[in-house]
Amino acid sequence: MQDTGISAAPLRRNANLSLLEKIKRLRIRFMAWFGIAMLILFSLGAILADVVSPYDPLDQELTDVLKPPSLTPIERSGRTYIMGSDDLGRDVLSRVLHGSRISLGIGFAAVVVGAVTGTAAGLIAGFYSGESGFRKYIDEVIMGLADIQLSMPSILVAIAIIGSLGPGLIKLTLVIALTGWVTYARTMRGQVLSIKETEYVTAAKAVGANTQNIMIRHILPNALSSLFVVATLDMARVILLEAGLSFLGLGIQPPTASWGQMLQEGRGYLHNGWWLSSFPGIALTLIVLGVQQIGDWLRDILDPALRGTD
Amino acid sequence: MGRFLARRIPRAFVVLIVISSIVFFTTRLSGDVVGMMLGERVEPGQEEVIRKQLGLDRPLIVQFGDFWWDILHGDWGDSIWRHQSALSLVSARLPATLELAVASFIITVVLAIPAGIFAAVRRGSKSDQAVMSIAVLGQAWPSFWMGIIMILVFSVQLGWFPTHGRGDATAFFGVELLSFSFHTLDGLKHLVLPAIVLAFLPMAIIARITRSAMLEVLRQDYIRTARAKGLHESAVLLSHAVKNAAIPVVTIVGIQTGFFLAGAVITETVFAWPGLGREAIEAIQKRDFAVVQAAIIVIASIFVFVNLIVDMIYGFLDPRIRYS
Repeated sequence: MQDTGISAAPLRRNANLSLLEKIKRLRIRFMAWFGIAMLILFSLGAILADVVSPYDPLDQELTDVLKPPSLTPIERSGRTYIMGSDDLGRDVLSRVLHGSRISLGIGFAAVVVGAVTGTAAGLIAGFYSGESGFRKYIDEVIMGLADIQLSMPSILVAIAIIGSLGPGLIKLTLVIALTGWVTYARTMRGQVLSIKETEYVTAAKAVGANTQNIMIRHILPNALSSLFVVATLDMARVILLEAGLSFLGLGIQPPTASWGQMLQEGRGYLHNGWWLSSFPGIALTLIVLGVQQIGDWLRDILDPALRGTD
Repeated sequence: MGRFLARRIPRAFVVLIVISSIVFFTTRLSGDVVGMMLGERVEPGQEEVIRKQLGLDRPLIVQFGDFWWDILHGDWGDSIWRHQSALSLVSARLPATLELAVASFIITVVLAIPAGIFAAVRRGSKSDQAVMSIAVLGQAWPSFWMGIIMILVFSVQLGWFPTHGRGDATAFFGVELLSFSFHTLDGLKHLVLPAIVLAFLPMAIIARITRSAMLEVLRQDYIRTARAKGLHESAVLLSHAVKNAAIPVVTIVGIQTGFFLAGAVITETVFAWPGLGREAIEAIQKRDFAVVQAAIIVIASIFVFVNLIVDMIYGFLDPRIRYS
């Protein structure tokens, strides 16, 4: 079994180093810097979308339909389309910026919901695993559900549920979160099983700490770094799934700008409007690549045991 | 093997029951199915009649029992728009999906595994970096955008391949379920782009795993021994390294196999490929619930069946899995 106590230690050991030194010690590699840059860039884009967007993303200028990207203003309307304009004369740049709100917003929310549910399920399953009496069934039921879920492709589950319930922001977030809880549950359960037999947990039991206390004060903090790695890699998956569902028309509904749905609209203008699909496509690929690179790097420094398991 | 199957087969059925039940309950919970079917122009009283006709006025649990009774008797309901049985509509689309999935699977295995082995053998070289960079990009590049780019470059600009659709399919040996199109030049041209796009993500994953499995094996003592006793490098690689690296590779190929069906939903939409996934999406848009239900249950069944076969192959290859 791996020694999970070590994983976060290098960050704590040298408390009196300068900030710059501390950052250097993290050994951030080039692709991780790229990922951090993308995350900051798109987060700023999402937060400041209303301020930095040149135009309202829904504002149609019907005389400026399908204008190619250009730095010079269109004469009649006086508007400049750095990333071109779409089939309804809307500014693609403004729509890409507002689309990052949907991507990162749903991505973040779904990861949080999935991580909290999955972690709780894994904690409980791991804690009751191997107990006698009816308690051991708690573990078996939870892990049985996880097994079943893993046997179904997540996109199919999402399509089945959203296809019948109809689209919607909250529904979309919950369904995407639902498809992700298993990874957290399995990771957490594995951690619990390996930590459960360590001396400090036995000691806590011996001095009479109650179950909840042991789980929350002793077991959870030791598993956090692994969960953090899982969450980062999950974020990339979730962003892709949201964009995929929106592309299929099952996610965010028009006229709200989302990258997946912009790609779907752009698919109809391959001959005369390559920019309609290219810019949201580039944005989506950059953020997913960035988040994956951060995840890979975090996995290598925080949790070497997970390496090569993807 | 018998005990192993005795555990796996019931689980496969549980998965199918769960997914069918999800479809059943979400359609029923989604509120007013009849209202959505009829749209705005409804005469008063008409809704009640249809509700009775469809049996939607009965308790949910009775409907659920009925749903299973019908499914087990092969009555999967009719399409509300095309007045055809949902099952026949769906099974007519099955060969297109299978053709796409199998073509992608072949591309994946033929390209990704040698690429991974090659990258591991030339570890640290320019070609290793190139293979791994493509793999990293392949994992981030969403298939629907990749599809659009492919169409832009190879169909619109270069004109090498058609932009969408499938070539004419002819039935093999008179069996409708074997209506394939890959044997004609036109059919093959239609197949190339969607098959590559669908293959990209699994290729990226499989190449990475193959590379790390090979690297793991190449450090082992028996490889050094094989080299020390003067074996030719190709013999070392083929008969010692590749063989031992096979289990993790087979595992990941197995896990990815189901993806070719699930991922096909998006690829089929990009290329207007007339398969099951596209049928499901179109049916959702038209609120044709019987067809949605049938398409999802059929895709899920194939997925579960393929996974069962993959599990059996492991059990056969690696006895440890059988007894765990």
